[in-house]
Amino acid sequence: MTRDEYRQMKKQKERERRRKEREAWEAARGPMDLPFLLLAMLLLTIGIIMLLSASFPSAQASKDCRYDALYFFKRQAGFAGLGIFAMFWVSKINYHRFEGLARLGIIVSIALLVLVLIPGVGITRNHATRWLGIPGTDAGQFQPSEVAKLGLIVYFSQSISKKREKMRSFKEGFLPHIIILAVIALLTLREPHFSGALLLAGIGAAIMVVGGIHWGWIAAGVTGLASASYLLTFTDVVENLMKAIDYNAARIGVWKDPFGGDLATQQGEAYQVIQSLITVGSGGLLGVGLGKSRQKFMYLPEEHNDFIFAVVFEELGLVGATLIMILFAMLIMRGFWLAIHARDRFGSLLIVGVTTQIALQTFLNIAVVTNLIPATGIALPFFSYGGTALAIQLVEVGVVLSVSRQIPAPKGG
Amino acid sequence: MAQQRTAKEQKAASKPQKAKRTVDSARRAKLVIQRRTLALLLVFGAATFLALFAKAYDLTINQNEELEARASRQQTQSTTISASRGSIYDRNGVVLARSATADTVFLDPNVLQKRADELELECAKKRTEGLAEGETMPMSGQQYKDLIASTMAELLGLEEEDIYEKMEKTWSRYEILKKRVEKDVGDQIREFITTNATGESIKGIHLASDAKRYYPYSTLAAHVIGFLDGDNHGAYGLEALYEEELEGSTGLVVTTKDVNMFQYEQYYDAEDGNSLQLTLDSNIQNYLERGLADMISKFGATNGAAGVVMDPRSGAILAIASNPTYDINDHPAIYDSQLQAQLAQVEAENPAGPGETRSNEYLKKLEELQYKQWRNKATNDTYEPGSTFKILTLSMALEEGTVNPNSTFDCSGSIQVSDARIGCSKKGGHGHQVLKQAVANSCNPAFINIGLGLGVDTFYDYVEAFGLKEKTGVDLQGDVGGIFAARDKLITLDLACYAFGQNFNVTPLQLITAQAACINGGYLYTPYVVEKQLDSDGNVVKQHDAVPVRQVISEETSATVRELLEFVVSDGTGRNGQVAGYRIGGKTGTADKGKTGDVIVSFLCFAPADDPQVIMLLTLDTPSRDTGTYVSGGNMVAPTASAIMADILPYLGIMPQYGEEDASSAEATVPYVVGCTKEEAAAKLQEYGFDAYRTVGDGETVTDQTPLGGAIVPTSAEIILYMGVEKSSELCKVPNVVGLSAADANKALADAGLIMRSTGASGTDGIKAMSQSIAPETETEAGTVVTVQMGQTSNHAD
Repeated sequence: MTRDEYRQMKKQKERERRRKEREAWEAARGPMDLPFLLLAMLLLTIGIIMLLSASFPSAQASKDCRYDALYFFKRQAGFAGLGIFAMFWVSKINYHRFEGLARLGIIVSIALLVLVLIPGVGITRNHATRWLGIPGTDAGQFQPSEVAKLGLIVYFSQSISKKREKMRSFKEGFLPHIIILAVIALLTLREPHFSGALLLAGIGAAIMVVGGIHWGWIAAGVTGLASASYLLTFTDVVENLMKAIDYNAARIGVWKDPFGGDLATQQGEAYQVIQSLITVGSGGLLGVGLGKSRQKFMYLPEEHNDFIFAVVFEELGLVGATLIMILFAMLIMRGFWLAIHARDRFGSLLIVGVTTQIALQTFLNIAVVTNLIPATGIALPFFSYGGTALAIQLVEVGVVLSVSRQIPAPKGG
Repeated sequence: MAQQRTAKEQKAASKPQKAKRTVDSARRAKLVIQRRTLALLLVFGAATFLALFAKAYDLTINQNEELEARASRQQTQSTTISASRGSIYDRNGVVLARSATADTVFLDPNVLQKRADELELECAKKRTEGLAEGETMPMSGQQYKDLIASTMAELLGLEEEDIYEKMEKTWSRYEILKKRVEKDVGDQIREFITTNATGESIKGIHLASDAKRYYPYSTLAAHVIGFLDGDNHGAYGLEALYEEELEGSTGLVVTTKDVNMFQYEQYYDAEDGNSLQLTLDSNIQNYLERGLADMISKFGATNGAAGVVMDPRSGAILAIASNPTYDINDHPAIYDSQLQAQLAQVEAENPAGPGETRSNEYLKKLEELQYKQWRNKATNDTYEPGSTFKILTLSMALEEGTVNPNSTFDCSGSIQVSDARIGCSKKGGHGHQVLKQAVANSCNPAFINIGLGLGVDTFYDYVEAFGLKEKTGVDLQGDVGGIFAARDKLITLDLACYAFGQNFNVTPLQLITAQAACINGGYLYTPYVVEKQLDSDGNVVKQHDAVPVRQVISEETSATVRELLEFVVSDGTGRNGQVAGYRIGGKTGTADKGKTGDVIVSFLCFAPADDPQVIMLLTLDTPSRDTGTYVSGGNMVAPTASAIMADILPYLGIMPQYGEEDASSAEATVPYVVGCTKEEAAAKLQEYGFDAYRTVGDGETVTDQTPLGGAIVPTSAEIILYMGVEKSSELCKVPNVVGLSAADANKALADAGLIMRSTGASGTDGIKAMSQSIAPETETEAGTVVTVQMGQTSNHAD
């Protein structure tokens, strides 16, 4: 090869690279999906307003909050601002850049999950070691499981999108992913953090399903879930199993008949569920009015956290709560619609992961609040108090928006 | 270049298949993703939300009411403010029942536990940090609980164990320790809460105002007043009948609350109950109850007694009593000694089995006796009245004109009615009598003729007109109506028996109500005990209006009846009912209780006979036949009636008027003569009505006297004047005067140094002392007044 030829080849390669880059940049410069963004922002706004309403009585009464009624609201709003900034920043990034970070991301996630389990490192609250933070300060605390969700979504999307139809094979498609998923879920379960593990498993499973694993696995999974639900609802098998492994089995009995226990139970294990039901039920059709919840005055525990939606029911009634649920449903459907139309598989899977996370959390949270399923602690996206979680959610929304920018314009448009 | 192109083309040529495969695989993979994502979209975007909506709809719409109720139950706290229960007064304002505030003491185990935990924490802190100079170890949580348990147990008389048990219920906010605690105990607890060994006020013990009912006279008018149940609601008597009026309305404070702070309060004022002012007079009630008790013990009556004192001019009941009775302040306890003995016997015969404190037989007997002592025999129980009913038969016949005071009757000792022979109380017969005598003799054949002369329909009309078939309408519990054969079933023989008061049943109250109509001018009044209701400020809310229900007989007939009945007491079977100085009308009665051989003896009397202001009916159920007194109303009941009347009439301000015959019964106040000379003293005594006196010693002036100045004694009494001589400190022995004539009794008592006051019948033919107020052989001070009941014992029933 002559020098000239070589130079020319190099030039061409350079042109090729620049063209591709330009193409990619052009694609990434497309408009982000406005409906998804607006729905997310609308829910965030309503969520912060409801947080203010739900949290002020306990903030006002708490020494930790310096008796400031706006304490929770201010912090949440601050994180929301930070999160929105991060969301727009992430949405500008060409999401293909994340592909390179996938492997690193999953390693860091697992490392953090291991780190939190090392005695003395993790922060323990209510008998559960779920938090990491800068030692000696309250600042910068976060849950590794939240980070792991993002890490899992990105890694699975990257890994599965590369495999194409090899995903149908057991050895290459199913096994590696199920192992990683098992490791992450089991580490989370060790904290213990049942609901976190459940979410991670759900998100991972959704990406694997959409990614193309053999339909037999899906059938097996659906059958397994259905029979577990059956056993839980109509038999004592699950309850007895939980008793055998010494896990909090009482919550199953409480779930089946919240008001059935004696006074001690009603004031003990069943208290939260009973209060939640009372809160939801006393709202009626139209609710007692925004800000006028009575149950939030120290009756309903975790009223600004996992049970914030009960306050929504009480204050806004079935009508208000249903409207908010419709907004959630629209956001979720728009997310999956974007996944269907994404430019490539990686993009699709990223959105599937993020949207599944939002969908699962929304469903499980409201289901717990209405006692549709046994109580477990799951935060409601955009509503529940929790700075880091909110920020990460907004970053994830940013990821979806980033993917949405590269959706080709409709033909003939 | 060409070579290059070729190479490139070659390369490209080898690629297509691979590229095509790649594109196909990518497209397929993409298709899978799209299809499966669509499935997720449907599941997560629609299905899950439909499930949530269905559940939410169920909670907010279907279960809304129930859950809302639960919410308000926990969010609001309502505290009741007890209204003060109204009092019950007698006609003179004497308190028969009243409420006073008391405290209910309760525990808040939830708060108590929190406080104990705090103390425990403080202790632990002090233990690890060590105590500062001069600092003492704070009380531990357990010590705190111990202190409360022991103090409460001591103050309230409870078992410590029970208190600990209540403390264990830490989810609870309200555990009652004791209801209705006396005010002073309540104050002690208040003091304990503020000042105690912890140095801080006790948290978790609270007092709430409550009311306790007091009945100052225990047994007085127990059957009228009744009692309350454990929740301060009327259970019996007026307390139950006037529950609504007495109770008032309970006030309410509704506090909307959260776990820590109170939001707002809403008040509903309590309204105090009304008070009742009764027609009863506690003194007359007392005379009546005492009389019944005396009569029962004297004649060994096994089934109690009843009595009603009424104002015939309005139907107002001045006293109504039933024996056996009970103590309202402790109404479950058996009060009567006769009943107590019965219960003790059952207890002795049926010892409690293992594991039980009382045998079943005992508990059954106890219940039976409780009902017995709570029964008001005057209104709840009916009886065959016997001869006292003849007043009604007489009234009917006089009103109808079938007899008049000049009618005559012949009594051979028995009379044939249909196919039965009915005997008279006097076997030998009363012979030829005018109406007046027939009534005074209580002659059965005469009254059978009077009854038969009226005929079934007329008689029955009067029975109905006198209100005997229906309830009296009195404002007392358990008022019942009489039991009579139906009008069309009444045969001649029935009518014959009805005419002298047998074979039908009425209550004593029904009977006296009808009898009052016979002697008050013919007006039937509804008997009543509540004169008026007063609100808490003393304003009259409701006043009884005594309006006659109807006029049954004319004024003239009534006047005749009064005259005839006065003759019964002055010269007939009712002589023992006489009260010196008063004109008394009356009628005796001895009624068979079915075919048992037992009788109910009774006496009806009223005074003054020409203008009745008070009427009284006494019944004595099943007196013993072994007291030596012939069983009859005249022998057994009339003397008691006389004694009660002797108390009632002066009390009501009806002054005695002594005729020649009664002179020995006249009473006067002994003047104070110490310091006078013998002549001055004699003159002064004379002035006051005392003729007889004797002196002891021979001093110049009177240094002492018996009886003392101011005492009220019969004017026949001999006054002893001590002239410079010490009054004898020797006691006099009371002689037995029963069976003696008035003159002999007076002499015997005077000889013993005592003064006789005679009551009851007067006259000389056959009137003897029946009883004396101080038992024979009793040693008593000279000059003591001994009341002697005079009367006559007849040997045939009335």
